[in-house]
Amino acid sequence: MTHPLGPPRWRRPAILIVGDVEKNLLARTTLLQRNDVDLLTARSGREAIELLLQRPVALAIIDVQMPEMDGFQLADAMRGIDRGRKVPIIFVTSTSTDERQVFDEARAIDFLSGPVDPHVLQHKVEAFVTLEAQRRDLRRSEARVRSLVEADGQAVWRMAGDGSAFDASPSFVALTGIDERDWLEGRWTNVVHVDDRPRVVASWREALENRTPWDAEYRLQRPGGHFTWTRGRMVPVLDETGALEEWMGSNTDIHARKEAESLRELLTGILRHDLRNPLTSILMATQVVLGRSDDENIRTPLRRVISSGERMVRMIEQLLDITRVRLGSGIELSPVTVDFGSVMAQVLSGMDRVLLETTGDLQGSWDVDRLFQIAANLVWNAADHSPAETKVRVTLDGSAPEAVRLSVHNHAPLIPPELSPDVFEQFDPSKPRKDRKRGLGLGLFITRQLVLAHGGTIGFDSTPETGTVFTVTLPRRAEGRAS
Amino acid sequence: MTPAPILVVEDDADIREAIIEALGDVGIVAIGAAGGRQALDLLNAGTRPVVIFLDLMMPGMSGADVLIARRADPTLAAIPVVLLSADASVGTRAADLGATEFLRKPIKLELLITTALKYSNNPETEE
Repeated sequence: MTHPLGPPRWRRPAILIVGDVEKNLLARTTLLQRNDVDLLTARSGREAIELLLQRPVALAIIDVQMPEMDGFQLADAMRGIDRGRKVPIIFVTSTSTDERQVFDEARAIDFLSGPVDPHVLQHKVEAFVTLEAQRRDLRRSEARVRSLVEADGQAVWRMAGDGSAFDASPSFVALTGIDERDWLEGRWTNVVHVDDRPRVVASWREALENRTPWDAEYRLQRPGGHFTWTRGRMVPVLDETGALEEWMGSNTDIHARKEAESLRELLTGILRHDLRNPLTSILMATQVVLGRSDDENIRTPLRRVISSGERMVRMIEQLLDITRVRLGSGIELSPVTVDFGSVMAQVLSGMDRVLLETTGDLQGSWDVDRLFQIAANLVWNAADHSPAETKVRVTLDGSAPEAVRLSVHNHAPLIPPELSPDVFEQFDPSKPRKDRKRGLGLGLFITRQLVLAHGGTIGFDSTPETGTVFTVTLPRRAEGRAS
Repeated sequence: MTPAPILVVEDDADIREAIIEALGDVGIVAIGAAGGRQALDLLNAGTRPVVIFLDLMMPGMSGADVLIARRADPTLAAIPVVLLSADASVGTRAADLGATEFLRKPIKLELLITTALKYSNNPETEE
């Protein structure tokens, strides 16, 4: 008798052949011998059970007529042990009267009666082994995907078409500490944060109904009782005919990202309100004192306070702008009819270094706030980068019918040709630019984004003789949100 | 009725007082309100300023809330409002809320005074 116990991890599926007639057993093992299966033989029901306790079996071929325990009794007994419960069975019998009983046995996949035709048996087993190998591969690749996903701190799960749990999800149980029964009976929302629950359930139901993928960010309870931010996703799995088979879902831990986001919101809020207000009052009060004195010994330092304060204001603006642009929320325009000259007057108020020249019609349909930013960024940039005793010349030319041109000219040191391509680029924090001491290096980047949003163009020209000129051309009708 | 002053509605006391002082330096009388609620109380009690300088972002009743209340009341709607804000979109916000005009924060003293003088000299003409 062969007892091929094999290695501890059963690489090959085993077929268990049970019968009390020695020559039949011998004939069948010879017939079914192949290098991708292990053949186990048992001469009685009891021996079969003993083997099943030792290793898993993929298929059992059982003689119905046996002394002591017959084939059907063995099938009953197999139900009582873990490894026997799901084993498919081919019954072999010499009498046709056993047929009905065979069909009562749910695990019976086949039935051979009378003298066994070797080719038929061989063929059936071969078909079964092929199928079983495919199933194994499938299970293995599924297990690999699962462990990959789970190794990433994620949970994977399946749901039936109606959203009820398809099977157990050890990873979801591990992530949330949910009772396995609660998961299986569809009470997963118990571990969703109560504030997120209505929104999560509503979007999930909608996905179920429309059979569309689901994607939601919400807080899940962890085994310790605290909550973690997670991204839940679910996609419909369709069969070949396009019918919904099940839903595959996962949860990814996004807590670190969420924390970074809320920190950024906090910082943005501080920039927006807490820092700007005191700065506004410092600048207001300084201007009031400046207006009360004719003494240049007092006025000069006060002007320095104002110019430094204004530089700080601009940096705050740029930081806020860059968060907006970075967030990819884009630049939304609200064009209204506006005169570029009056916007420029607001920019230039209080700046005595700037000479303004205007020609033609300066009316257009632009976003008044963005237009202010474009003009202010270029003028401030020109003032910041040129010697304090020199003038900045600003020209607004509205003589063309379709567009208005703004140019800002200063006596800045030459912008070196090798830096030219980078002038409008967002600064890279990992390689700080040398001239960053006067600002953040964000002004021109943001200005270009605003000009492009208006459908305009921006460029510059820099020579040692003439200084630097930035030129912006804006079409008179900017496309954008109708206001 | 008392001579029509300018009403400055601003929750930050330092900014509010600086604006009132700056206007006082050029002979313009201004009174302050520390929030939207207080401003509406003054208006409902019969104060009729020539213009309201109104901060947009305030805790409690904001500048936007005041403008919405003003729109619903014809006597208040007749008073011009200059919206003050550091918000980059102040121009668009002012138009959306029906403010007469706007000033960007930090406020340039020169612009503050020319704007205030415009209303002080011609109290009837503005919408």
